Amino acid sequence: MNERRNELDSSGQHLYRRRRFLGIFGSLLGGLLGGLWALAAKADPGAGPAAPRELPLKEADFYRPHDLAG
Amino acid sequence: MTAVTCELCPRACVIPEGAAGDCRVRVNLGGKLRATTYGRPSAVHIDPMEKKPLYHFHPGALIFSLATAGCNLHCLNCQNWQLSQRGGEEMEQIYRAEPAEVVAAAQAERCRAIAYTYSDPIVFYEYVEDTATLARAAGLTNVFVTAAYINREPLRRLCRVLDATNADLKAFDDGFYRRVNGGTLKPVLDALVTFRQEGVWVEVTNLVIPTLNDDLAMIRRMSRWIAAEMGVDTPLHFSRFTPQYRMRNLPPTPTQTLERARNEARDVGLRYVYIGNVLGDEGSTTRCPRDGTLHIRRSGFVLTENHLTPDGRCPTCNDKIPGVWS
Repeated sequence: MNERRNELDSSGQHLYRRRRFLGIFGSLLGGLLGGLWALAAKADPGAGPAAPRELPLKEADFYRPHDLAG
Repeated sequence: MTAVTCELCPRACVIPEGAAGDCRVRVNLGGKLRATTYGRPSAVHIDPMEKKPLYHFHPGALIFSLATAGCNLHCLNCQNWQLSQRGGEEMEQIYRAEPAEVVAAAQAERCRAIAYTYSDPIVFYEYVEDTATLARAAGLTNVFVTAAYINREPLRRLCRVLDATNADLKAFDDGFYRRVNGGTLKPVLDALVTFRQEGVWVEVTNLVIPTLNDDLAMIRRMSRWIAAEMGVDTPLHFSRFTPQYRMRNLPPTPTQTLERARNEARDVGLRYVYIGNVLGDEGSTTRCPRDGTLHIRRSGFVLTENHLTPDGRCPTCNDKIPGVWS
């Protein structure tokens, strides 16, 4: 016999029921948040400071190839 | 290996492949010169117009001010040496702001002008030109705060999109430019004349450094040149030196020295001569040259009184006061 399954808390509730409820609820919540994060990343993959915008180097004006003497 | 010659400023740097010009920010990559700080400002602020300083150009307006790293002079007393005497890769902070974003930000902050300033905007020439073109189309004005060490052709092209400049005239002595700034005098004088010829509103700043350029005879010659070549209505700002960067051995400029300089400049006919970086308002006050009527009073960078008519006339004698007022 598993004594833990019959263990009562101070309010008379079975502890294992509360643990099972928290486990299921936590899994659902985690899955929901993970899904939202994945959707957000797909919608805007460049968002966030870790992914800087591309900005190519601009060619300058007012220069010429250097003429070598000789 | 293809070296290039930069023709933007009088230095005419010959830049080997992989190296930067003297300004540190124009780099030869694969035989092409790249403006490496284009779209990458390192300083962005909102200032009062009086801080540039411009006293006869939209007084009291806010001006969106930006700069990138780099400079084509190397003044021993530079106030912004952390910005100007570094290449872009050495900066702690680099923003990304393409020209359209700069203009949008200036409008969002209710600025009526954009200043290219702090370091010398000559070295981010292409960024200035593209931003200024968009700014003008959006109804903003463009202000170029510079030491004016630039070749004539690039400057003429840029003037098409500039409205005003505050240009340094650091001394009326070529030796001073060579020793203290790492430049020469004549290109600066030529650039000042070009600004005027191209219709850009010009105000001139002379930073007075004790023992180095505070000789009153030299200040008199400089003022005469300004009167003759730029016109007696050109505002001249004598600015107070404070010890900075590699020139910490000299004391701040005494106020009396600045007042004597101001008197010399007025003696030779300049009509709007100001004193800057000094507490006290008379040296920064605009008065009518004809009748002494108070036009604009300033305290520091804050405009405290403005009695000019909306179209820039003296309320007493109705004379048109030179400047851009509305």
